[in-house]
Amino acid sequence: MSGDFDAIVIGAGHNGLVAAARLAKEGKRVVVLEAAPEVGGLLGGADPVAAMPFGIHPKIASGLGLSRHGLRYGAPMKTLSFGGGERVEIDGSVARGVSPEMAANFAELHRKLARYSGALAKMLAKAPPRFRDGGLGDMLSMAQLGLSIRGLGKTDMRDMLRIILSNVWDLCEDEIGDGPLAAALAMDATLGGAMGPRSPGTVLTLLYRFASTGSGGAGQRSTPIGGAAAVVSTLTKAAEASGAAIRTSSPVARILVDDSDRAVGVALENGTELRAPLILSNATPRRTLFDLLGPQHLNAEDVARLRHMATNGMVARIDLDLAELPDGLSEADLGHRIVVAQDMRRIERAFNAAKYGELPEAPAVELTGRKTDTGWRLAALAQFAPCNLKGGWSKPKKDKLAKATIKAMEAAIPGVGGKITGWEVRSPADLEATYGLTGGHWHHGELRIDQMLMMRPFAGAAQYRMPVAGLYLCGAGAHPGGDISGLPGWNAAGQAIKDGGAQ
Amino acid sequence: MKYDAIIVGAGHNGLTTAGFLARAGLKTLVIEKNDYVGGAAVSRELQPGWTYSNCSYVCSLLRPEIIRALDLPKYGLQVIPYESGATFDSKGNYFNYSSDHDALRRELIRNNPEDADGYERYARAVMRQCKFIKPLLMRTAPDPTSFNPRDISELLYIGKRFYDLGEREMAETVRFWTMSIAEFLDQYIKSDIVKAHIAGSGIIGTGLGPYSPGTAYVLLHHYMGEVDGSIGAWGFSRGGMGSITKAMALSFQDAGGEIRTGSGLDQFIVKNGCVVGVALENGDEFYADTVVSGMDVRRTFIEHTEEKELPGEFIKGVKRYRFRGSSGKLNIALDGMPTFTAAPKGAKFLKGDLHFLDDMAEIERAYDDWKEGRWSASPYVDFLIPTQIDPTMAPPGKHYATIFVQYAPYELADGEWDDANREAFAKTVIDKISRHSPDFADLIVHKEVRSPADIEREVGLTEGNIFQGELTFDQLLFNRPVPGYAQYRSPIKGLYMCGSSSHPGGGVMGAPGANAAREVLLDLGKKIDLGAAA
Repeated sequence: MSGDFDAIVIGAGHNGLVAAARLAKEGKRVVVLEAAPEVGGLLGGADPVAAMPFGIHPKIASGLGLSRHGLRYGAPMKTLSFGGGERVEIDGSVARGVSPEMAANFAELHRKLARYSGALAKMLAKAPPRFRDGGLGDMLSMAQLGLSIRGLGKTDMRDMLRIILSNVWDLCEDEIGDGPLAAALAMDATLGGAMGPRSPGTVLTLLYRFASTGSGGAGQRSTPIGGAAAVVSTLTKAAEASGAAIRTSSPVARILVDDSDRAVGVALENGTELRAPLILSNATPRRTLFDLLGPQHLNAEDVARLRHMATNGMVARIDLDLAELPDGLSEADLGHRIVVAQDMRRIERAFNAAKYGELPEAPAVELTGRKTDTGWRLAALAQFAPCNLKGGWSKPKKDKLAKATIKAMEAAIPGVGGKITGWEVRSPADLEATYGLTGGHWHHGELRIDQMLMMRPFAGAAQYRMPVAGLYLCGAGAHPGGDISGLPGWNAAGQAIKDGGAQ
Repeated sequence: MKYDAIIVGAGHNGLTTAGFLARAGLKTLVIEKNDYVGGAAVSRELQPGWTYSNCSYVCSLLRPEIIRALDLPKYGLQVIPYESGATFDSKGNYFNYSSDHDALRRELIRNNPEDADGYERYARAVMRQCKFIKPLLMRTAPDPTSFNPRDISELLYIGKRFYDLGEREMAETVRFWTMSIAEFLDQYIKSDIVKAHIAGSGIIGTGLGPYSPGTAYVLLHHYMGEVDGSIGAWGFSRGGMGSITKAMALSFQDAGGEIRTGSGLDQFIVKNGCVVGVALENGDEFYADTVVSGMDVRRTFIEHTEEKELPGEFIKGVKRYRFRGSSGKLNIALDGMPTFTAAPKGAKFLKGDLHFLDDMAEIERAYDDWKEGRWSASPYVDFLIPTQIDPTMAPPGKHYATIFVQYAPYELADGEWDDANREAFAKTVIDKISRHSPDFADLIVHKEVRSPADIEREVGLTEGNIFQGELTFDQLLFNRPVPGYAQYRSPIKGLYMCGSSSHPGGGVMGAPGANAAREVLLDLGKKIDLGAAA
């Protein structure tokens, strides 16, 4: 089949750029079509939604030669977790500001999680195997997972199989008790999703986080020097250096399908049609299949799956302007991950309200910050702020959330409230409107066992191949899901290359 | 005195194990702390003329293999199905569940026309899961870390059954085992009241809410039983739940077994890492090389075994094992049959399980209260008046009501479970029912109020957890009760577990008891037939 291009990538988020770069590097003629005037998706703009990008997978960084294009990582970030007035510091497996006994328990727990996540990590870097009928490669893949879990040894394997579907609440209660240390882990386990610390499945999301936090070692993040913009610019350079074309302000209206039910190209909103045998979509599963492809090309069961995919985003981004920093926060602190949640109990309470489409009285917050011309700007991620808020999102609701967030921050870091001079709130509904992000959900869909691995986005479509031949999903809605690993894009491109456009 | 085997606790699982061991020719003794047998399956006359099933109250899960093998009908067991039930909402509407297919369909359509088809799909999906899990109930869960041929062959057996489901159904099964009941039902059903009616089965006895992942499985745990071959049906044991354990006790005694009630266990007697007998609280000692504990895992090993006899990792595992009582109970003697404002005259569904709910969120909010150490302000209740079907439980014209309440915490954030709090808890429940049945409160002749703490004290269930431990994945299958010890054996040679702390868990099922008996007999070199279907 001939066409204008060998591959079209819809959306220039980091996964779209990774996919384009890999395809181009393999000699494909690639065009990336981005609806917005600039590339980067959630990593784009002056105050990008993903304020703390971490963990572009090392395999991708080396495969695309990102360091050649200027990607450099900063020193590993610490986590500073605030309780009422007290503060603990987490540096890898080292916890400071707690009793020696607690520090030892934390170190042991941290090492354990690192080992378990290591056993899962291999599964993240490749297409998930099918449950069955997937052929020899898939069986080997399954066997490899089995072996890597067995390789942990009897004691670890037993413990891992016990906790893997369990909740972070029970895990922390058993190992370190509740408090700012547990809160930091619980935030890692829950942020971005619609689960509280007590929800079964949050140990798995925590292990995922551990497995996907790149160069700083398990569970410890490093962000690139230059932040999100550096990730976007190096990926763009890598893609363009291999010959990929990137067109911004080019929103795709629909995916073109021929009479034999094969994706053959895209139509832009301005009417232009582009053709290619491989179409990779960085959009969410629902947007890709319902809006761009159209349900008429899906069977009823897949439509039902997609309709019921859990995608209710629960994180609001609040930018807070400060004239000066309070006593409890220093300039150096702002380079780290700051958790303001106090304990797991409070995080769970914040989740309670969101279950009913209401705003929490005391949101749990993760933040980082930067210096501005006039003072400081804190980028706060406040949970749980449901996309499907009762009565919808409005200015008063946003202000209510911002005030509640500031109050919760004040309780943990006394003095911070009085320094705040202004705020700007981006609700999940705003993210949906701005980025086409279904439900405003960071990860394009909940990271839960029933939406992971060979079930992401749904069983039968989990190997990046969508139900229509020639169409691939390369965004976070595909395995292994969210965060800034680039793996969905990398794996999807690999699958498309393997199929060679002749699937 | 020396026996071949001693069973500690005359609950339904202890008596099941005992029954099988006695039938295999073992000289078997059962000891029981209470003056009566039954554990949590008892019939008690706490008000003259009335019989209360004052713990467990309905029957479905008891494995038919056990009923047959122990010949329980011969010893008086009769289970009468109740064929309907209802949920009333606060707006005066109700949903009437019925085992009559046409009647159910009519009722679904009355509430939301789309639900008739959705319900069919839901029922098929659950039935497929029942068929998948049923054969696993009467088997010992394999240890996935073991290279022992039996463990490997059991793993392969489960793997093959899973593989044979086909790709779609394999995914559905994984989803079902990990999803919340709320999301599971949202896939099929529109009507809030229908969803609320079903969702209760996903949280009964459990420290999770209907929105918590993992609760779809709990639904299955209440759905995989049967009455007279009708899968998913529930019924009353004639004469109360005590009739089940009474029949088991008679069957056991007929096979030569001996039961001693009235004195509980003080300590297992262990020598050189082997159990050799039991010492009772009254000073009696009995000896046997095989001792099987029907108590939950914490009572067995933390309260009644010397710490030095157990490996540290095991103790850690037992201490970590979660009970988290979450259920309360009211047993009420009624002067007559209460009326329900919303129920049509002569409604047959009043003979079944009644609930008072608007939607699943109401149950979730009830769970939120429990998390904070309060009983639910608007609790989920499972309300039944069995005397409409089994008149033996109350004087003529009078009635007995059993009210199961979810959620009630074991420990209250404010205060203790004293009489005042028990009374306040009962008032919350009775007030809720009274909003739907104005004459209910006036008909109360006597009531027994049971908090999780009361259930623990009387029955011995730690923290009042009705399943002898939470039914979350970290405590199911090969993880139950402690990874590495899910095969009914303990670190002490000759000491076994047969209670609901072991696979497949709680409910008046008998499967842990039967499975434990099989393991004991295997170790003694004897074969056992647990029943044709096992």
